[in-house]
Formats: sequence, C-alpha cells, structure tokens
Amino acid sequence: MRDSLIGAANIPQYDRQLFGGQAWLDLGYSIQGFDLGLRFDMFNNSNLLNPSDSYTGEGIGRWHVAKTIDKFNIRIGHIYDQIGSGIIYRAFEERPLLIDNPLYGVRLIYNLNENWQLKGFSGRQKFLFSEYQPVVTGASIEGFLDLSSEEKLFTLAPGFGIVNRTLDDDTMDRVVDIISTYSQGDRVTPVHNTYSMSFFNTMIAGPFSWYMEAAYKTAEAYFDPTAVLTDINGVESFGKLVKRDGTVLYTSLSYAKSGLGITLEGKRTESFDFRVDPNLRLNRGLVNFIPPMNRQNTYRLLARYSPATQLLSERALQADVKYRWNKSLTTNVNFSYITDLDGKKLYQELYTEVYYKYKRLWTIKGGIQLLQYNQEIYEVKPDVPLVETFVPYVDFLYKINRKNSIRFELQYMNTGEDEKAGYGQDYGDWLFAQVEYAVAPHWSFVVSDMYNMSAGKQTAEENGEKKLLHFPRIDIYYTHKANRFSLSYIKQVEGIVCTGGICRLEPAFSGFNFSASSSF
Amino acid sequence: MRSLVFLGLALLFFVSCEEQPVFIPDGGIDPEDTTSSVQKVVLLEELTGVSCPNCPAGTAALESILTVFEGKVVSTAIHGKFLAQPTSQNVYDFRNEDAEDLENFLAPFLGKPAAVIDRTEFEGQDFMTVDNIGLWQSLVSDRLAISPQVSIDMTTEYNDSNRQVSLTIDVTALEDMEGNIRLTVLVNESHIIDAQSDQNIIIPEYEHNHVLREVLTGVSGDIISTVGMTEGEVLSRSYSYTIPDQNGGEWIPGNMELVSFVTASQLNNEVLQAASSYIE
Repeated sequence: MRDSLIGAANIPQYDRQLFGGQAWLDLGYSIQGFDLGLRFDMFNNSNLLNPSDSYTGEGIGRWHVAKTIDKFNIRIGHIYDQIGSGIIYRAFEERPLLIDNPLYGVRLIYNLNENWQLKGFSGRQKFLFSEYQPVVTGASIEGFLDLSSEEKLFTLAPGFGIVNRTLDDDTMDRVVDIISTYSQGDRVTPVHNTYSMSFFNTMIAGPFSWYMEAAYKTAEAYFDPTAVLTDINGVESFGKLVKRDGTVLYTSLSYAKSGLGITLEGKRTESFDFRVDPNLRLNRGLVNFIPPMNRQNTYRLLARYSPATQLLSERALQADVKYRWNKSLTTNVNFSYITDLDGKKLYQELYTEVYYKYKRLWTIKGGIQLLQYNQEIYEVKPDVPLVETFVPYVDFLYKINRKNSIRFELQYMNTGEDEKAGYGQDYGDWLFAQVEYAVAPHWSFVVSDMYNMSAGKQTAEENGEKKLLHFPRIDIYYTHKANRFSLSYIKQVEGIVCTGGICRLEPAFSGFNFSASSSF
Repeated sequence: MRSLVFLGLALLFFVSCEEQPVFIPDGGIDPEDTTSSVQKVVLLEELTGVSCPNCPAGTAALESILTVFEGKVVSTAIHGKFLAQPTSQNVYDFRNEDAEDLENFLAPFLGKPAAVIDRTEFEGQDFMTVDNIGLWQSLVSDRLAISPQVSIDMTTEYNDSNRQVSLTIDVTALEDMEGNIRLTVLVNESHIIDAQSDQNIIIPEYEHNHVLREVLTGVSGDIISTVGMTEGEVLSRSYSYTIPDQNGGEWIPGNMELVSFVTASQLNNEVLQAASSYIE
C-alpha cells in the first residue's frame, strides 16, 4: 500500500505491481544409496533482489545427485559447503537477502580414515537461475585428533583449505576495459587466477575450546571504494580497482563450566574482498564469508544499528560472559569493539541481560544496550556524528494457563544529539511496544508499534515540518503440526545502505504479507 | 603420512602454473566510424544527487568521458529524488518534477551513481542503468562505434529581453525505420557552485554541471512519427522555453544548454542519435 510519507512509493510494488510473492519447494529423496535433491524457486514481482525494483522469475533453484561409494562421496549439481569458518570459501543461502550462491559443479569427498577427510570441488557460482562465468576450484583436508587422557579431555580438529578463482576472458575484458581508462599512475595489472588459503584448528582442553583460523589471499584486482583515482582531467575521486594481497586472522576462545560461560573473540581483516568477478558489488558474487563480530540482536530496537563486516580494513574484539546463578536466574554481558586498521572507531556495544524465571508461571528478561555506530563508514553518510544510543528493554511472559500465554515487549531508544543538524542523530528517539497472545498449540496474535517519538535529522518531513510517525505491525500465526501460516500487516521505516562504492535504498514497507511454510 | 602426500599434491595442483600477464591497452581510444558520414553522438544520463556521497566519483568519470570523446557525448545530470535532497550546506535545490519523473522512467537502478548510456541495456548488466562507474567509458566507446540512423540539427535563438529561447530541431533519417519515432528535449545548466556530499564530507563549493532543469517534451519523448521514417526524410519540431529569473548563481543563460535525442520503438527505444546546443 502506497505511503509516500514514509517513502513507500515510486517502486513498482507500490505503483502498479500490487501483488507479488516468493515460493520455495525443497524436495529430497534417497534411493539405493543415491541422495537426490530438487528445489523449485519462484519470484513474482519480488523486491528481494533489488529493494527498489521488481524481479520475476521461476525455475529449478537447486538440484543435486549424491552417492557414497566406499570411502568416496561424489555430489554433482548445486553444492552448499564451506571451508573452516567460511573465511576463504562459503556457499550458502540467506533468503531474506536473496543470497543463494551454491557452486554448480562437482564435489568429491574422500575419507582417508574415520578421522581425516579430503575434499575437492570445482564449478561456477550460481546467481538466480544461471551461473557466473568465472570458475571456482577448491580443496581441503580436515581431521580430528583425540589426545584425551582418562583425567582430561584434549582434542584437536585441524584443517587446511585452498581455493582458486579463475576469471573467464569476458570478465577479464571488462576489468581491462576499466583499468585501461585509468591514468598510468592508477593502473594495475589484473590476474586471471587468485588463490586464497587458510589454516584452522579447534582445540578442546577440558572446559576450554579454542578456534583459530589464519587466511591469506594472493594479490588480485579488486574494487576499493576508498582508493583515490585521478582522472584524465586531473580530478581526484574515490573508488578504483587496486591490486593487493589480503589476510584475515580470526580466533575464538571459550570457557564453560559450572554455569559460567565465557567467550572471547578477535578478528583482523585486511584487503579480503574475494568475489567471482571484481566488478560485482554489495553481496553479489562473494566467494567467502567473514563472520561478524558483534552480538546478533533480535529485539527490534536493539538490532536497529548493526555493523556490516568490513572486508578491507577491520579489527574487532568481542567478549561474552554468561552466568547461571541458579535455576531461576541467568545473567549475560556482551561487549564488542570494532575499529578499522587505522584505529578509527566503527562500532562499540555493551549489552546486558538479566533473565528470571518464576516457577512455570512467568519469566522476565531485561537489560540495557549502550551502542556507538559509525554511520559515516557503514552507511557512507557525510557530516554525521557517531550515532550513540541507549536502549533499555524488557520482555515479560506470563502463562495464564496451560494453553494461553501473553508476552509483552517494551524498548526505548534514546539517541544522541546531532548538534550540526539541530535534531537528534539519525531518526532521533524511538519507542517500541509489542503484545503477543498465544493460544497453544495453534494460534499466536502479535500487535506492535514502533514510534518515532522525538525527531531526528532523518525523520520524515511534510511541508517542511518533521512528522513523528507510527510504524505499526499486526501478525496472526497459525501452526498445525509442521505447517505454519502467517498473515501480517506491516509498516516499516526506510533506510539507506551504502557500501562498495554505491548506495542502495532499503525502502520502507507498507502492506500485507502472507507466509506459509510446511515440512512433509 | 598419506594425508601429507595428498596435501602436497593438492598444493602442487593449485600453484603449478604461472599465468601470462594481461595486456592493458591505452584507454579512450576513439573508434573510427568508417560507415557513416554523420558522427554518432552518445547520450549519457547520469543519475546523481547532492546527498549522494559516491556521486562525485561518477561525475568525475563523466567529465573524463566528455574530455576523451570531446563533442561526441552529451550528458544530463538527473537530480531526481533518491539522495537528491539538499544537504545542510546547499543553497539551491536541483530537484524538480521532470527530474523525478525521468529518474522513475529510467529505473530500476541499484544505487547512485548510475548512468544510462543511449538507453541501451548492455550485455552482462541487469538493467539499463549501469552502476559500475568504471564501465561507463568502454560502453560509450561501444556505442560510438555504431552508425547513427538519424542526424539532428538544432537551431536556437535567444531573446535576452524576455529570456525566451526558440528552438528548431530537424531530424533527418539516414536509413529506413518503422514504428514510433520519438524526440526528447532537455534543458541543462552548468557551472553552478553549490554543496555536494563526497564520501564522509560535504564539499561546500562543488561545480555542478549539466544539471537537468526541465524536459520540454514528455520524459519518454514526443512522438514525431508513428509510421517510421524513410531515408532522407526530414521531420521538424519547434519548442520555446522561458528561462526563469536569475537567482544568485543559477538560471544564467550563458550556462544553459539544450539537449535533444531521438529514439525509435523498432530499435528497443535506444537512443539513435543525440545533439546539444548552448543557448548563448
């Protein structure tokens, strides 16, 4: 439903293509040692591919045939897989972002013995219903060593992987076309073949678990949006293809014993934008996946500012401490801190949580989040201060009886001042409230509202005046066995995300959504 | 031991060969047109905005193209809606209804900056809009290599007393064509000094060129023929435009330019030929 005040307008779905949808049907079958899989995908007037456009297409989104013969496993078709934590290679599906990048090719796994496995694969990365032209080939060896004694658990799970990406001639021609327009000082010589490799290991010693991974990528031409390009007129601008090698170091140390859980994580990333084609931007064509280093928040306002993983320059630390005091009371503190390699602060979050359960009657969860978010870097917004927010939140669940329960959520976001703009930072302050009434085992009714209670620089304007808007949402869920249906009315605030040298509008949403998922 | 042997073989497999270096030719090679006596002129419609932090890079690429292919490319900078709202430091507002309509007409686009080159959807691109700035020059070069199907002659007269511009356009067919033939006329203004977002800063005195001020025809063009054209046929159209009163550093007649171009339904509404003429 068109609503120009919140920005839900001027895209096909609001102007003319009033109905649309997405569907996936995943089928699997095993017969005589063969594993067969097929998925039908359909996108009708969908804005998943490009939020400001409409995409329609349907067909076989994935198929595979696999067979295990003695120590060999062979799989052909579309293959989801990863090496280590995914830093050098990950083929995966993320439907809300329409990331679906399995390798279309072949994979062989050979079990050297019960603890060691060798893997090799080759193919081309899928995009929608076709494939990118460049070829991706990889291999890994992973093992498991149990060095435990009767007194102490001690295991190692080491591995090594290597991935090659070979550009096809058409893709290379486009790269050369771009570089040929550069002045001599800006030119680099691209390569067809790029290799990335990593060594990884998980060590478990008693209550400790330590994962580490070190990755290296050979020098290749990739797009750096911060690099300065001098054009033929002597004018300097940002963004050009550069050629450098890249590294990622990642480690995670966990301790868990007697109700206490501690996790410390660290990551350093330098020049590690690894795509099937260096001309691709945003989330397209990524060969790998570098894990984010902040808490994955689920509450609406707590998740409003989330830092995208920086592929070219990032240093990140995260600590998470959880303690279970008794059967009723659990506390959690999480701290994450992210800078670029020059030390510029990108993100800082302190999150606290207290969870209390009173018999089987009610539970309460609450805490605060203190956050700093570099909007200049994550959204390439000029002339904005570091966004600073303070969010107290509470979640209360009351079980009325065995079948009926009611849950309340309340969150308030206090945002710092943008002194230059004379308003609050970004959209200013928000209040979010939600009530969920569940009738087990089938029904759930949810009503929520997100209210822009104090104006910020980005708050909507009408006739030159800031409008403090409500963004309500109503959901009805029905669950029957493995089937789940939902009908929602949604009004959602818009945002702009700039990355990789271009800005992308994540438009506001206003309308109805029906969803059905079923397993059989 | 067996694992190490496999590992060694895998490494050898991956790094055993060394590839030959890629040859980078000199860019900006002006394609020789040997098939036509009329030079093809390419239209580049730039989707931009003063609040678009990546757009100065696009504008720099465009200016470079205009230098390399001097006289063979005309352009317009469309400050539509997306990221075109004035920054806190802007004096002027470049947005207008025609620019917004044209931006919507050329959509979809993944983001800004983006360019539409001769309204052609190129191989390997999702849309008519091209968001990879680096590709613009080679795509312009590709379009310059084709022979134009029409020629355009523009005659302008400017009356300083009432700030009125009279424009006559003659479109001559260089080959037979069928279907609807459309003519579009735009008004641009250059050399306007005002603020522009650039990455993490705002440049207070940025020179804005080719800013789209008005579309004198419909944004998809005026139909000048519904039955195509035969070789040698000439179709003429006249337009008049009154320049608004000067406002500080904008609406200066000497900085204003008229751009016209012709599209044909038979040829996917791609731009067959473009032309431009300064008002003074």
